[in-house]
Amino acid sequence: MRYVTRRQFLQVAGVTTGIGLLAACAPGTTAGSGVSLVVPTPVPTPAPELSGEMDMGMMRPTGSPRHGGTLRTAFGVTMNSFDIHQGGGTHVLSQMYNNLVRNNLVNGLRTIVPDLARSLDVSDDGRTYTFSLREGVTYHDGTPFTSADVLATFNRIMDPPAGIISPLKAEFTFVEEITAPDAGTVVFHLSAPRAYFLNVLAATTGVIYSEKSLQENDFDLREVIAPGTGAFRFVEHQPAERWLFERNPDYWDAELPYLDQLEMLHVPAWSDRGTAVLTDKADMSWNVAFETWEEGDAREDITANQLPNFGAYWLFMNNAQGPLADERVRRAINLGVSKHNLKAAFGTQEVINITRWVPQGDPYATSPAELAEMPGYREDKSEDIETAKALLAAAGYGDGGFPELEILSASGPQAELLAPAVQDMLSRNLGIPTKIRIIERASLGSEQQQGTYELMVHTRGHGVSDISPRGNLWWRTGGSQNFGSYANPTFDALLTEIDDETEFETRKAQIDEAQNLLDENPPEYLIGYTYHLPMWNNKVKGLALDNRIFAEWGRMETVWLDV
Amino acid sequence: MSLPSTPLQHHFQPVEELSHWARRRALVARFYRLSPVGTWSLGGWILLILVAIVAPWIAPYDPNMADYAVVRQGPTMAHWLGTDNLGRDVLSRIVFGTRITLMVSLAAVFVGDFLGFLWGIGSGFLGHRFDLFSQRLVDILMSFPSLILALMLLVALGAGLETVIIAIAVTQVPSATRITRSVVLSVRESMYVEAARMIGVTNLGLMVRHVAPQVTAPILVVVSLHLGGAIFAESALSFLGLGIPPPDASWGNMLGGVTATAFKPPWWLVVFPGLAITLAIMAANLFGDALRDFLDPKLRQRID
Amino acid sequence: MRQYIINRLLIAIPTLVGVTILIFLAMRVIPGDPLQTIYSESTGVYILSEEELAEVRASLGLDRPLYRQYLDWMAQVLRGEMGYSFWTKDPISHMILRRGPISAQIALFAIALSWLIGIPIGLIAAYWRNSLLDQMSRLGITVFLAVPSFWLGLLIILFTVLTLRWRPPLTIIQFWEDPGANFSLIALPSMTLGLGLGAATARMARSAALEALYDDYVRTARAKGLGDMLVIWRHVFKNAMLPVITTTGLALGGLLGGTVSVEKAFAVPGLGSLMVQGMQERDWMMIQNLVLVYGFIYVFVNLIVDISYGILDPRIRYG
Repeated sequence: MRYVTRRQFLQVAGVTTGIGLLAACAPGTTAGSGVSLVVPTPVPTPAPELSGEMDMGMMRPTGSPRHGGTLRTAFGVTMNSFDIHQGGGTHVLSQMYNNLVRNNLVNGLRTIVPDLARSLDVSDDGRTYTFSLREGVTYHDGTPFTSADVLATFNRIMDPPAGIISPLKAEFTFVEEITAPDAGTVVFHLSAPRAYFLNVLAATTGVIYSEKSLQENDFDLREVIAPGTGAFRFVEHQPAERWLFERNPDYWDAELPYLDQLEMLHVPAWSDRGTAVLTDKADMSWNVAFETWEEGDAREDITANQLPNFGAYWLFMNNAQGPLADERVRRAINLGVSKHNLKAAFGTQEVINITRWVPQGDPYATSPAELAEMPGYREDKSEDIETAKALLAAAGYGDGGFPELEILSASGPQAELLAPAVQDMLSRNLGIPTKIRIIERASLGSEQQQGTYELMVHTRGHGVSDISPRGNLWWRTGGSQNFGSYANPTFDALLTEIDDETEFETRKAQIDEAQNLLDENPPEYLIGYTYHLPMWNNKVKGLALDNRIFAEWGRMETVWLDV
Repeated sequence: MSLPSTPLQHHFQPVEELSHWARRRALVARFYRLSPVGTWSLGGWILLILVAIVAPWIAPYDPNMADYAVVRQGPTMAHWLGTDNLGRDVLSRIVFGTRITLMVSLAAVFVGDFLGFLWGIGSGFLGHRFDLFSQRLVDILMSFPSLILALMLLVALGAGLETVIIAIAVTQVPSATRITRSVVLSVRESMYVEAARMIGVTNLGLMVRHVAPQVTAPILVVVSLHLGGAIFAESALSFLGLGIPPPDASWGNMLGGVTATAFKPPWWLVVFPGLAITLAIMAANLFGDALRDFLDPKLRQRID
Repeated sequence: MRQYIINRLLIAIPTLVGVTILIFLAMRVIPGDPLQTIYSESTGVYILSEEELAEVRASLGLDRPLYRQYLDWMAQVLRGEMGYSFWTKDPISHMILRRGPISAQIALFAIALSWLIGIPIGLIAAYWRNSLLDQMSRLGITVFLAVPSFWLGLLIILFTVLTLRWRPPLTIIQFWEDPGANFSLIALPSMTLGLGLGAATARMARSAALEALYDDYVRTARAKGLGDMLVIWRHVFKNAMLPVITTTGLALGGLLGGTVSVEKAFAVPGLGSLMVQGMQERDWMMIQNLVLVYGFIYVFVNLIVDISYGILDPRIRYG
């Protein structure tokens, strides 16, 4: 029996303690690279204690937590469904549910700890995961929790019935079968070992619905707030205004939650969420506008932090036709457009985290120190622009004559700040003329699906930072979200090796090589991952927000109010 | 229905034979005596048009050139009105914004009111079913607050310079139609139209030769009074993020979007474009009032 | 009078049907499909395949012929339902009921404020015609007729946030829940709109009062020896009210449009900000119902203005 697939990372985790402090102290100037992280931060690692005697699932915050009170949070994401596995809003709904395993709230998400699984055995070949489930857990409607619920939940994700759209399906392609030998045991059989499998299960989307509610609703929970096993019970929902949850008195961890009530206010405008915390209309927010973050950072009664996040802004390129089909042109654009300038341009909105293809927060990320010297990523552009011009000349666009390209962008800050900045640099640094066309967010998806674009400023992210799930979706030839028709057989072959590799050092070398391939023959231009800027009133304790290693808009049962 | 290029100006032809320039000067002098403020406002508008024409020569910078070293700086000697989020020069953007704002508002008013003018003549003169149908259609267009009608059209057509012009123009059509029609109805019954009809002038001939000239004065007043509204509409649509798309500057989109939603919007980004809008609207309003009093004091009630 | 009201209502019906058809057609030519993408902060952006999209569209009845979709919509509206937002899946009728009162309050307060400011200023300016007071008020009127309401709103925000460090509440607080907080939500937006409308009112009140002051009626009354103030109160005020009501009625379109931009400037959770959000996201189910609501309100209020005009001015005969 092996505890973990990657316990080696614990060492890395040790190094990075104090990152939150570092980031919070950074002044966050608007121009240049004022904010920088020094060390790559790791993804959570399964704790060795997972199958041991001590129950790590019983998370206890530091300090002397007290019970009672209402926490008010301000959030801004619209929720188009109550069904978490059909894109529903986990930032709100996850409060009601449990996963099999989850990221540890009290140590800043540094480890993965048991949740509804009491313990876990991983077979030596890394292909069989056996979870022993907690006993005596019930759903909010009184239904007891058993292995049948786990089975029903994951079978729906992997093999959705007609009419169910399962965005998570692609995450589980390597799971061959799930079996339940008895009511207290679930076994996942994998076709090949996957280094990041527990990270997928621990993501906020990994909640376990009850078989009963799935069957009662024809497996479609989009319009149903299904009962969970979680620490909070649903009380009220005012559409587009607020959610109210109350303490689940029958929660399996009798100590939790500390709060009596959880009130989540929907504040759609970006800057207003920070304002809500500053003016005491809310106690915390997961992500606020930079201007308000700066204001809060300077305040005594408010704490602000800066956390790496796995969503990014991109300049997508359609590789299928035109000049962008030439990898030299794509590489020239990657070299000629300054990420540092884009970061400065977007300064009032979000803090852009300049990284390579693997985001900060992932153990395989390239360190900022290395990045500062790398072509395409370094601040000094003069040499990169020369290389880029030579590439364009080699591609046959030496003396201008580059055809005008169209940049699509959704209205809002992306269209006002990012698109014009990209346009300006393409024209000034590379002589590539462009025209901006503003369309609505709603239309971007259609344009991608139909491949009817040349350049597009848009966001894209993934709940898991590992390159495997991302690469397979986005960059593998024929990947289901490879809308730019990128095709690079060398990369595909390497990705297959990365998928199956579990040894850290080997995998690290492979991933470095994969990133080199993507730099040399880029599928698109990465503007940058973003930092999330959480901000909270000092009385909010128990979430170790100042000590987190990445952003997760998830559960809050360890929160207590120090009043 | 199309209008041949028959000159419409005989309405303005004074009885005594004066030289071309002398007549012009006399007209301006009379206008100035009636309303000095209106004349100054006209001067202000001529100045705006000049600014729009010579924008490339008087703007200190390329309005779309970003300078990341001076992002969001207040007024300095190098940038008199400060810089915006991309380090672009605000003064240059306001100067170039004059082009967009003037083009949109003038084009929208001329297109909208000209359509309304044609429609109103047709509706009032032809009467019967055409009139009834037209009036119901105008009723429908008038059932929307004009900004909301323009917003809806922009959503359907997609944002862009031409679509903003179309959307604003459509909102001007109903009132222009109504006013033209009401004038036409009174003209239609007049003796000399009757007389013309008797000697065999066709409907089209009547409309072009006899009815249209009578309506010209009121429609000119309508145009000038709509102008301020069109500038407001352009800036409001752009402010709401559905008007002139970036990167080109219009006074409205300089105020909207990122600036509008900022926690602490930099004051120079709010104050200067807004002042430009306000002054242009004020000049248009004052000139419109003066023109109305000048051309036809009786119009006041009909148009108000 | 009753016949007139009935006639007006009968005319309003085909107009409203036309309004619904225009809205419906405008919404069907919108490019892009809001259903194509699922946005989620945890799963990221998921773009539906064509088959998945077709299935979703069918489940919403969007694969039916256009006339059927129109009739479905009308049937819904008549039942008081308005479907769901594509993005948030929230019931639209519920959001209208929650947010409508806030926008209505802003509009009504703006009207009340415009009368409170506009009528006295108009009367005073007319009474002391050509005095310094008159000239000042005329300057004020000219300026406030030109200032765009949303810009005024931005200036007010700039001032309050920078100097007072105060912001209005962010959530919907109804009057019956907490009058004080409700007032702080709508005070600044209605003030912003009320100033512009007040300028129009003052201008109208001034010219109407001037006419009335030189009216034979007033001269006779003065000659009869009635107190000066009483004369003004009785006759001038009454005569000035008619054009003031007309102005307010005519300004309603602008006011409804104005609430949209001012709500955006102040981030007030009203109907207008909901509509702008829907427009930016091409949530056409939302847009089509909200525009319909604005259209209905506008037609209905114009009807009321017409009727009240008739009541106030008995000289108007309805045929």
